[in-house]
Amino acid sequence: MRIGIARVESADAGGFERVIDRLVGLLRRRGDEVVDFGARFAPAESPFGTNVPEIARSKSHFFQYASLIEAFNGLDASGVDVLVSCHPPSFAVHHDRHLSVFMHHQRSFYDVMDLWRAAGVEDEAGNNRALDAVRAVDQVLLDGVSLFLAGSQEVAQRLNRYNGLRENVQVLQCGPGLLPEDRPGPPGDRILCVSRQTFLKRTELFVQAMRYLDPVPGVLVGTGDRADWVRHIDASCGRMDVDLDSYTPTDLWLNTGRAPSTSRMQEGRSSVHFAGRIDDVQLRRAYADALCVVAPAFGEDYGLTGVEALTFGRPLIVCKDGGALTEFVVDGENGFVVEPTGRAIADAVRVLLDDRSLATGMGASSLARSEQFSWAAAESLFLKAVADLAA
Amino acid sequence: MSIRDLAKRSATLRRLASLGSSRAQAGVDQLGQYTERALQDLRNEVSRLENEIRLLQIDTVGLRSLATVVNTRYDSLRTDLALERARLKTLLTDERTAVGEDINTLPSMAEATGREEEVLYLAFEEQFRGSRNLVRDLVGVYLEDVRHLQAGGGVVVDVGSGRGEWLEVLQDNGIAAYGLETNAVAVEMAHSRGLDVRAEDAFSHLRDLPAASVGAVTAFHVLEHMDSLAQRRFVEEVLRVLVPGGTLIIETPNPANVRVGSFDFHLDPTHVRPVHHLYLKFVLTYLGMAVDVRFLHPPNDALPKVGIPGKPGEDLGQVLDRLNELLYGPRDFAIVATKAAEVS
Repeated sequence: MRIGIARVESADAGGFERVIDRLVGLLRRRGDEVVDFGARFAPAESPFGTNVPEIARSKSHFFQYASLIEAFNGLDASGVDVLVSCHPPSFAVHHDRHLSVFMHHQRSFYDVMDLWRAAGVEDEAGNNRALDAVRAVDQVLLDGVSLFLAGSQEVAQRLNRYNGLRENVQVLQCGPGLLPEDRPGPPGDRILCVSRQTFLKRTELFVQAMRYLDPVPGVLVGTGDRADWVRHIDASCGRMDVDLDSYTPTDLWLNTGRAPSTSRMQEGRSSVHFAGRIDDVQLRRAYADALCVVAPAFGEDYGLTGVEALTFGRPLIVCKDGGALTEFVVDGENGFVVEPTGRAIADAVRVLLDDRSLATGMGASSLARSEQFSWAAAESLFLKAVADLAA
Repeated sequence: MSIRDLAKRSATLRRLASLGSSRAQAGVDQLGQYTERALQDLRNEVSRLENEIRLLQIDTVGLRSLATVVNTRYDSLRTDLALERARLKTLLTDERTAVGEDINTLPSMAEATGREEEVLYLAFEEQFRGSRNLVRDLVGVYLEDVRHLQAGGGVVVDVGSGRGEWLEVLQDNGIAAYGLETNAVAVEMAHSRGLDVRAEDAFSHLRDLPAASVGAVTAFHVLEHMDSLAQRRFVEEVLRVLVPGGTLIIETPNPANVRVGSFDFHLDPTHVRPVHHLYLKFVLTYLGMAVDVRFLHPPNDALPKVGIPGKPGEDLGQVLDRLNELLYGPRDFAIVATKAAEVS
């Protein structure tokens, strides 16, 4: 079979890219011919024959998205038997047998729009107009998709909420990106957070929580455009004269994340080890050494760190507004679902610190629960969807 | 008048002048304030308008993107609908025949079967020739060859117009044109797009045209569906109907690409005979036309240069170049021929 893969080419290989690479590898191994239909995010000043460089620069997010729609819409996929689209708006490639592996909308025009505004990232009026345009075009494009495999219940609900799509939506929950080499041992003593440090990942809440728990050791794995800001928050929360309870979301994460240039010099001692980007061997070690895993992100589409925490048999602490992350946790059974504050996260960690047998039991529950999120099930669902469309 | 009187008057005049000067100054100040306020109002208005323009620019991009994607989907739906309608007609004919209705009043089985073949061929073209957008891009390269016919400069006859992509390009550019097509389903689809396509055999139609009456004749992927005699008669007939200085454009598979000539050519069961570019050029030149041959559509999977094991610095360059020329050369060629202008 000839199968087209439409995706946005990106230098930033996150969890979604690894998922797609895995599914593409699966198709190739079974002998399918895979044809790439790619387009790249690039500065866009003249989508759809316009010539408005000034506004294109100030509203680059919208203009880049419009340019991608133009690029994908212009691709000719008539020669493939089934088209699989991935990142938004690769679903703009037209095909009668169109499977969308749908991990998220272009979220700044949907569920996180208000947070973007509140953080001061985009001015409101321009964003409203851009939002209307994106949603109208997306609706036409998504109505043309034959079948969706949504990355989580959360994403399936968004497709229903924003686009009225339900009947042709199934949920494809991926397995972990990383597997333990041995059966997980007893919980360690570190508090682990594995996350990119970008807007809405809220690693600021993790470093604040660790200041409540000082000197309990914490490890923050990952990097991102807010890495300096997160260190600044860690340093700020570490000052003796600071009331940790006085920090608001705006102080912590609901902002543009531009760190004052002097903050690094004022850091001082921290109980958090900022591990940055690490390899698989080091990441396995980090999970093995963890008492529990904290995933403080807002509204996640899926959250590979969540399923990895389960696979490594560790209790998982997520926030109530954590989106798909909450699908991994039964509150009080294999972790905690808490308010999105540093104090609430710290309180949940404290419960586990004070009762290690509870941590061990929750770890075992996590391991049992991890079986629901397997690659075998995901791959089988994906291949069946491709076969059904091709039939 | 005494000196004292003069001094008094002078003092009075000075007081009056001073009073006038301060009033004038107040007036100037007030005028300045008005001007400043008016300027500020203007600045605010300009800023508001600039902002409104930015929003309109966003709206423009949004609306253009919406129009583009809706158009793509609409086009595709229309094609599907036309094919589906043709299938239904065929089915209905079969069904009526099966239940013993008076078949004399209905299309014959042969007609029904012919229709099925036409639907099948269109679906085949959709799969292997490429989508409408792609074909529009491919044939769009000939626009410059007929642009002189814009605004009433002459009509283009497109032989074997198929789904009508070329006719749309011509229509969009203000060039009068019509198509000739024998596939009735394709004709219906073209009509649904508002195109002038006539369900006529090209030979009969050309024979009925007066001499020197057509600005250009185009025939994309048509000649290979004829035997060699028909190919020659076709170009002779075209030459007759073209006005002096008129243009003939032919595009056809290039058999000099061995893969095309020996293999891909036979993918289409209605192909009869490949055309060698030198033969076609010879015939047209023999008939007195000025001929330009263009090689088109090279595949993008040519063999990469590889080294020779044990011989660093050497590669199979010439061998690979020759192989690439034979196997991965241009897949099609075009002939753009011009009829000689009349000598006065």
